[in-house]
Amino acid sequence: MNELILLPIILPILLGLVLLLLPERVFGNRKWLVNMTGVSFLLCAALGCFAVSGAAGEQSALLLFRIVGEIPVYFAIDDLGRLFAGVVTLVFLLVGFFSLSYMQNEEHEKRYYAFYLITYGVLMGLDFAGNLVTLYLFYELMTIVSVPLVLHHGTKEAVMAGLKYLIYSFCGAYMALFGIYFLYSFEASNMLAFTPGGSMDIGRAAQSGNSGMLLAAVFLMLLGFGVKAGMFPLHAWLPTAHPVAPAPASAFLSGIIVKGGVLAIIRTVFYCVGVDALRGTWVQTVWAVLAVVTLVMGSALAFKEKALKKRLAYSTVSNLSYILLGLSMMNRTAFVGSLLHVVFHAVIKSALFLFAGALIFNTGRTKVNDFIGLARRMPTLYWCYTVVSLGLIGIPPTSGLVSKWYLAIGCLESQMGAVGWIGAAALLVSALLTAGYLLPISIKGFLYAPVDSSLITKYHEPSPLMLVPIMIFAALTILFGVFPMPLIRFLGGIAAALM
Amino acid sequence: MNTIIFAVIFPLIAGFFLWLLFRNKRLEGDRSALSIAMIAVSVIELAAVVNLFVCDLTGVGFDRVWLGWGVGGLGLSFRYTGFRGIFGMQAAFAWFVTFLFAKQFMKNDTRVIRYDFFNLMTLGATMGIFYAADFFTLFFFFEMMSFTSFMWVAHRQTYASQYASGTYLGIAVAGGMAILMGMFIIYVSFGTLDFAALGELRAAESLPVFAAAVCMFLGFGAKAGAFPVHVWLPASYTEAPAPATALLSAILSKTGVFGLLLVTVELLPYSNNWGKLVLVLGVITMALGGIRGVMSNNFKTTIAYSSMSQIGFILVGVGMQALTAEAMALGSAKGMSSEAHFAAEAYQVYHMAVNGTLLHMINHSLVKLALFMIAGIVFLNVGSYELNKVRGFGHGKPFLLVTFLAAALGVGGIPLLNGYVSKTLLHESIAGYAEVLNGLSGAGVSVGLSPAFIRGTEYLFLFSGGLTLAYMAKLFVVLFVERNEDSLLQYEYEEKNKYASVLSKAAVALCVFPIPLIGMLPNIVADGVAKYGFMGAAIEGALAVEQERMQYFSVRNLSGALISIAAAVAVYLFIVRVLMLRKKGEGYREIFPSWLDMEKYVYRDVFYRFFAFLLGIIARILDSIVDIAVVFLRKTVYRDKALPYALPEGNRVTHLLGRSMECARRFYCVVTKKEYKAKNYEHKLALKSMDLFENLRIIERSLSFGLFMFCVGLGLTMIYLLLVN
Repeated sequence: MNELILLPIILPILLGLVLLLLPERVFGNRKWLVNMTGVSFLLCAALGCFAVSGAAGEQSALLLFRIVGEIPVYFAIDDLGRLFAGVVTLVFLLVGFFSLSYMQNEEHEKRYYAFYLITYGVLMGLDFAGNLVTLYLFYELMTIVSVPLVLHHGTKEAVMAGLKYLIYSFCGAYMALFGIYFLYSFEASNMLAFTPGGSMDIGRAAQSGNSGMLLAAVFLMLLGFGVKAGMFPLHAWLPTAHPVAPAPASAFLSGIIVKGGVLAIIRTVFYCVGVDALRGTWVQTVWAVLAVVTLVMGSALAFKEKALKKRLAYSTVSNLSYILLGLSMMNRTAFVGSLLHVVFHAVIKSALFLFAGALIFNTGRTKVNDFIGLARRMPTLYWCYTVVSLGLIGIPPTSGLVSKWYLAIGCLESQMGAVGWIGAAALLVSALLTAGYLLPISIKGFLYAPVDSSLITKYHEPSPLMLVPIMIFAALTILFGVFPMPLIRFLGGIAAALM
Repeated sequence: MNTIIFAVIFPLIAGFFLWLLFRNKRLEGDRSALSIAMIAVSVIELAAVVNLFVCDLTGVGFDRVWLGWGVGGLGLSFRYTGFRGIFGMQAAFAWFVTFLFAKQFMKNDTRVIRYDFFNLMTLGATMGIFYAADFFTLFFFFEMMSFTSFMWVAHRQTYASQYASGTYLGIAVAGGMAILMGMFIIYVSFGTLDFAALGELRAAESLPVFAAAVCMFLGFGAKAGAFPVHVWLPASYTEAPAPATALLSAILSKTGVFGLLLVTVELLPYSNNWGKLVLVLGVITMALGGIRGVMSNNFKTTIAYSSMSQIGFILVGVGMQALTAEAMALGSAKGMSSEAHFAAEAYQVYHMAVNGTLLHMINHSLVKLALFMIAGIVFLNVGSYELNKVRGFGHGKPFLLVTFLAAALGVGGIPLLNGYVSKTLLHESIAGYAEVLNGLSGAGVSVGLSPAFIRGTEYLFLFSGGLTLAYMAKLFVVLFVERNEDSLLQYEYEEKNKYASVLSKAAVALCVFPIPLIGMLPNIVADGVAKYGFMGAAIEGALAVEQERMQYFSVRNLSGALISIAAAVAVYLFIVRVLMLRKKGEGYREIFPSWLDMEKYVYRDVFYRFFAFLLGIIARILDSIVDIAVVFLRKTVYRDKALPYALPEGNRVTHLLGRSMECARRFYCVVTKKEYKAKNYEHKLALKSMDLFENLRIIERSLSFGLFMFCVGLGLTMIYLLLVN
């Protein structure tokens, strides 16, 4: 029954299309639309859970068809795909429920939900893609279907941001496409399937005198997929595009969609080319240096930024580079750290954007300094924020410390000498800056007197539908911090198969 | 053995429970009930740690405890040693007495539930630190403690406390990151963070390990208040409520020292560089704290600087531990351990450093608990900590007089009180070390420390002891000798008999009680405690030597105290009486130059503002590189093609002409300084040209019509001519 793989991919897309095509009047009042959407969310997430469940190491695969009788479109569920799909499903469901309450103030609600569902389906496709071609197809689809989320407000700013997003993404995708063409000619099997440790025939590439070219192609793919993951120098779309979307969409973009780039890089480096071909080459060094530059730069910019959502977007730039730095080290410890950070960052960043959304929903303001002294009106919200902030900084007993531990140890263990040391130090500098840009919001919320005390009585704790997802994220942040071992063991299994 | 885990977790659970119970209750009766609940919690905690101690004494053996489930990735583990037991008890005791005291002090504070919640969290975290068996557990609870104790400093929510707590948190987070970096390096170098395992490895000093130790110094030293990461200390100590300050000074600073001791004992037991680093920074801390303490005009700030200075004394002890251990190791490497005299001498010196450090930590804890609570009592009655307001408050209050005097003289190192014992040990370790060095150089071993350096350290040590006495004398004179300039206020002070509740007095008395006990029976109490809490590197050979009975009251040791007293008299007379009180009628003035404020000018301006600014600029440039490139390309090579459009009016000539006339006119206006009004030449010329073209077209058309008609006529004429012919 391998065809069942397709179900969690196709159903959300179908539901989304139905929602998109049905005329507005079918739903009558808003309540009906919200109920139907909520049920669709639950249904899709349940299917997603079903697809993800299964013992570690279990594999199932499906060859759908071959394009022009040659290029295979191929799906496979492995542990890495399960991990990503699990994270996507979790965040999708919680952010989805948040948006059911948040979007009541926005126009074109139906369109938003429709594209949200479609994006989820496409992401599941990306996670379950079994070879580079399929991955590429869904990668491009992901870009296209998530653009309406960015464009949602339809303001000039949003449209320009959406265009910037599209241009950067396509630019990156074409770089990656070149790499795919190149890799295709040295594939070991005709299925091009992802194989732990690399599916390429490196020997053949070396014999034909293409080693240098191979490295260049891989580097282009890194840069190209790195666009989605916000890696310097092609990261500039991220802080522009993420903040203009509605808050739950920002959460989904920053928490999940950017991880698509990370997944693509992992698939390329660890499942196609193989680390042995890259370890010790200039590609590894340049990659690590770019990641270090990005992670310090992102934090420094977030530190200086005054608009809350933009600050969080810069923080995403920085945190994604934690992940990329870990991957670039190409050893097990750092790899586990990276995947841990994929999970933790998804949880934390979603919660942070939802927090921003709840504040914006409540106050209609966007600047950090507008939120001084609000915590006494919404203590639960601010407590959750404080917990996830500590998580992002990496203060025990939250999850951030665990991922940072593995990342930094991996950096120092790597054979890269100074780069590894600088990487570990940069992680800590960035954590310090993270404390500098996240904690003042909480401190000023709790301990400072509000600027306008007459206004503050209007504000109140957000509705349960908005608050509970944030609380769950906060609880997960602590839970993963205190009991990370099951996850670490699972990831250790993935890493062991690769290196 | 699960008592350790109980001691760590119980306050955390109790904190949550009490918070749930009391979070919405703000009446005075509720606050009183909460205070009693807090005292009960601390009594249970005290019972738990005393139980540990008794178990250890009665020989119920215990090894390390693992808290399973891999908490935080590496798992938490705890163990019990004498040192940990002593400080666990000290911490529980400190919380107990401050809770006793807080019942009165926090009586009118509506935010007391928040204070108590974070207080219990800090208690649990502190226990976790003292019983930690590896660096990860230590770090885990150290960070927790930093964040929960932040709320002490921020508690009052005034501008000053916001400022102070900002510095506190900044240094705490940065220090935490430094410790983490140190841990990374240790873990990568040795593959373990376990103290016992590290101690057995006996790592030779290498650059990475020393770098790790320096990182640890920045982190742990920050909590202790060591130079140059002490900058948060004075303001934070001053801003926190008095019972919290007492805990900050008595216990939290010791957690930092505990971390440094672990580095000294387990990580770098024989490192000369580490010893020198800690010694030099300790001496600076000791002297700087003393000087600033003398120069301060605030009661609580003076005691805060005193804490810093005493931590300096303790750090000197830590540094001496490393140096003396190194001397021993060098000696035995040279085969000198066979020379019984040398081995005994070196071992005694090492022992003095270890015991002096431990005892001074305990003494300082007791004294600072008492002093900060006395400061709190003064504040409750006077409403201020400023010396000029506090002046004369102590008249007619024998309880206050006795306890203050005992504490002040105790920390000042007056014989028969506790500080004398520990300071003597520390002083003797420095003096003895000089002799050991002589012995070593006689055998041809060079340590790289000049005798002058040791001699200078010794003098500064004695001088700093004098500073301690000088600022304590200042406080004593202000409180009990001088009278307030406002005689009405002085009368009020003298009439005030109910200045502290029974519980508060009991809290102070409990802290003061051991002071003479340790001081008068040093060979029984002090040596006993030191023996039980001995925490030193396991050094083979030397340990076999029997410890000599310390002659605390020998002439040689008493003369050290005398030198300190003489220095104190000189400093007090010159700095306080002459410099601080120079201007009549102004009372005590702060005389430390404000431009030497390291916190403001180095940390806030250079580190926080300037570096962040620089980093921000670099990041901004990197951030916009691609965008700039895109814009540049669009402006040059990939310029948008101009849409083919017809000019709305006029033609190129008129536009060019009109624009240049406009420019000329603007230029003319600028030159003649007339107000420029657009004359719209472009438009006018366009109209003109349109007129012109209109007319031209009319003419053109009429001409062509005429020509056409002419043709028609010509044609007709031709036809006519043909027909006629």
